[in-house]
Amino acid sequence: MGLCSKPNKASKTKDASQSVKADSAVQPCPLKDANIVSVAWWVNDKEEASGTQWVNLPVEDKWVDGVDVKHKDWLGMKPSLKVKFDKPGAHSFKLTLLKPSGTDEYTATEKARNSHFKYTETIVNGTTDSDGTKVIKNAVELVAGGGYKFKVEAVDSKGKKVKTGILKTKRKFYYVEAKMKNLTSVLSSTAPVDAEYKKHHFEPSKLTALEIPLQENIGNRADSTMLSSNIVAAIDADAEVKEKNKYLLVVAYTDHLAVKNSGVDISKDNINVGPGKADAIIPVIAAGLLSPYTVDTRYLWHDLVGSESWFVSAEFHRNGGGVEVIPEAKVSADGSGDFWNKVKVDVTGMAVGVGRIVVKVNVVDRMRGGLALGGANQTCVCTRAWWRDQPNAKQECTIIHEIGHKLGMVAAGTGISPDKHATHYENKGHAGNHCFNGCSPGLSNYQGTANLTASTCVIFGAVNQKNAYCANCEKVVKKLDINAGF
Amino acid sequence: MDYVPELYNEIEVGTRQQSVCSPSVPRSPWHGVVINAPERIIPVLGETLVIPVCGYYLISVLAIMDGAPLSIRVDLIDSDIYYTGVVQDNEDNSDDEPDVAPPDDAPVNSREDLEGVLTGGYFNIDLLSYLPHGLFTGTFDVTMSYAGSHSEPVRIVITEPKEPK
Repeated sequence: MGLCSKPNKASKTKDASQSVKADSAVQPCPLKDANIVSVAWWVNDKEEASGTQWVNLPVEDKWVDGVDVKHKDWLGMKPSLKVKFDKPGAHSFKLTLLKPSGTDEYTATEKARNSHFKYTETIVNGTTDSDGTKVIKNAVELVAGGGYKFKVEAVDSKGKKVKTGILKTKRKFYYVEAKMKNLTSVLSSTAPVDAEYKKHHFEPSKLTALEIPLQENIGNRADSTMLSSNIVAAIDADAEVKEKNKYLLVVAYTDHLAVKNSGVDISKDNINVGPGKADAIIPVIAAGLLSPYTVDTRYLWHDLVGSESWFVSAEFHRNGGGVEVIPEAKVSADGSGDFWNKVKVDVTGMAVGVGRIVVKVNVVDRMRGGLALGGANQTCVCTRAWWRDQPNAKQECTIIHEIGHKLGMVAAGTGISPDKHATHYENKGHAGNHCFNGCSPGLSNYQGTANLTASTCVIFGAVNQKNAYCANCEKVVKKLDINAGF
Repeated sequence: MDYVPELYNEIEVGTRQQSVCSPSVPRSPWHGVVINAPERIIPVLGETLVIPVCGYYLISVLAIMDGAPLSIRVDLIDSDIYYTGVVQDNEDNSDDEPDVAPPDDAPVNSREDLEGVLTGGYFNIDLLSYLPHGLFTGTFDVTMSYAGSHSEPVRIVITEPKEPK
């Protein structure tokens, strides 16, 4: 403020300053007593004391919904500000975006990996316009995470400080349910899913549900590809849903998500065959298709895909030589309910002898509760598993879990993700990145009932009905960057 | 790259189904591990070397439950050099898929049920996925073992690499 001469007592009041003659030798400075009076968030050409900034959404009118987002100035990571002095004129000031509270600070490694994890820490210098105010745009940048509470402090040349109210960061995504025709046990309400994500400063907005063709089972890549195509077609046919595509997640409800292990050989030695001999009982057991290929009880593949049978072939390998085909009619399944864990072979029609019976069967390798379909915004949740309806709690668990994967959980500490936390695990009996909180650390395989029961996090690698993120994960969920959409 | 026999070009490694190069299964009462591999591999400069091994095992279930996992030994001919590895994968994680465990009332086969029971399965692997480092030009004998059973060795010749077409 080097524009004026030494202060004149007469200029202390407005009236006094008006009495100073224009041709006075020493001009009173109109700026000398100017004080900063406010700094506020500048939204829709109005000052706002506080508010919510939807940091992931682009600054575009299409994301303004009048409910959560009332103006596009509430969008993006660079909010605008207005500084006001009590007198007209060009007054200099400095702005500082204060260290946020509310959510854990990003670590140095996170900041190094992702520039969206760094807020503006440098001081912004500015000067008001002739009216003594200044609107500042694109000068401060928030962070991509949710729940961060930011304030800006402005200081004038005399050291007087003013602050904004709190601007809180949130992230918004849309989702739509895509329901296969004729399903009978679709989740009745997604409110618990919404509630879990709202806890972590997301705002999920559900759009009107879509309908997609029925597929009996999603068990392999071809099935998944068809499901994806059906979802894309349904989205393309719905303008409202299509418009939100960049920040849209799809939750597709399917029947079973069963994986078949085809042509497994099970056999038993030293079987006595011939008239009057007892049925040969062979347990159904096989190695898993996923590492570590655990050998365990399996159940015969039946009533999952209409045209597919569990039976492939059966032979009797007679000790001393010779192989005889055993007709399908002589081989039956045994077990409890739909859980057929044994094969029974009627050997009474064969010539007396001893040997090995080899039965080739199709078995269930595993049942999945859901899938995050690769590389897209699509997830799916099964409404039936192990031939039974999936209860709401399991479907909720699966949806929270799968949406979590699409949002970037469980962060692996690579790319744009937050750091890996202490209970992260990857590909240890479950495909992908998951959380073992509640289980013992360092296991090579987190499958099994004991781990399922002990696990405490919704994004453990199996459906555990623990429908919330654990303490480790919830810190990471709040930090996730979904600016790029899905 | 080129394989001899050419059928090995059709193998999808990382699968556990019968393939065109799977070995035929010996007659009863055999059990153990059998493998097939290309006799000769002609690498191409700039291409990633893949060494397919197609196998079948028929092993006592109890032996598998208690024994060592499927593993590999590769001996460089006319030397004391050999490499070993265990066939355990970091599976494709493009699908993140939570399992649904069978309900508590689902029957489980007991150890007593499994006396005398054998389980068998095919596998098609890329040898190099399970060795600590790559193989270069040379002649190698490959053996696979599972739960105490060992395959007969198969011999693979890896020639000097050729220029791409």
